Amino acid sequence: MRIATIIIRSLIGLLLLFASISYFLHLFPEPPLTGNMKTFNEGLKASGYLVTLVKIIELICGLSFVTGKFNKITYILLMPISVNIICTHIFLAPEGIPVASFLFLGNIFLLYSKWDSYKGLFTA
Amino acid sequence: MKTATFFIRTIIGIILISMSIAYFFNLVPELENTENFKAFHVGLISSVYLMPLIEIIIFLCGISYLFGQYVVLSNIIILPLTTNILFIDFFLNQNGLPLALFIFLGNLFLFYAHWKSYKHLFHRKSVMHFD
Repeated sequence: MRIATIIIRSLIGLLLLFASISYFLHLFPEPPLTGNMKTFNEGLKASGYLVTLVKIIELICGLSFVTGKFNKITYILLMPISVNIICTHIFLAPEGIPVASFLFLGNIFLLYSKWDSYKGLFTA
Repeated sequence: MKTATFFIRTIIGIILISMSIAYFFNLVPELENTENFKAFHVGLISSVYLMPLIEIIIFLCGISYLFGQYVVLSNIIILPLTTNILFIDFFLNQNGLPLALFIFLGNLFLFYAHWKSYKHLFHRKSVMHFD
């Protein structure tokens, strides 16, 4: 169980680092988008801050996941992003569902692996 | 301190509930006065899931704040939303800035009021619970 946690954590960390660093350094040309995905993407860009904020959070979470420090808080921090990534892919870009669901389910598994730390949040 | 927490919690709860009710019954006036804000709004609508998801979360957290149940959890769930409401109003729609600022600072205040529930999440060394 412990090994599985470390493997999943490191894989997700590398994925996040890859996604954020390739955004900041413009490593890849943007793929052509169509339809609703295009409108959605243009909307995000029009907000002026949102993509940058998401990528900064991905970078912080990626570093924390890879190094294994401050994990309790970064697991929660990543949760809104992974929920939105999987929902975006389900509704707009079904070809990315495998990676997105790996990220989402992995995040839930990681939360579960530290469930004792989060129990205190559920007191009424 | 206790009274302040109670008042801020209740006021934010009422604001959140009325925001979501206004959305679900289409009572929101058209606010799009700039091009970017319009583009952003159209983008959100074209994602299909995002607006209903946001409004459902806002409604649930509003109920939680109003009745004072599970406030510790609701604080965390609503934080990404209040952050984004603040940023959107700051960058695109300055008219809504005071309200957004109030919701965001109120949320931070509620974090502070329940700080002892969150303290242990910030430890650098994490403990594995499986072994």
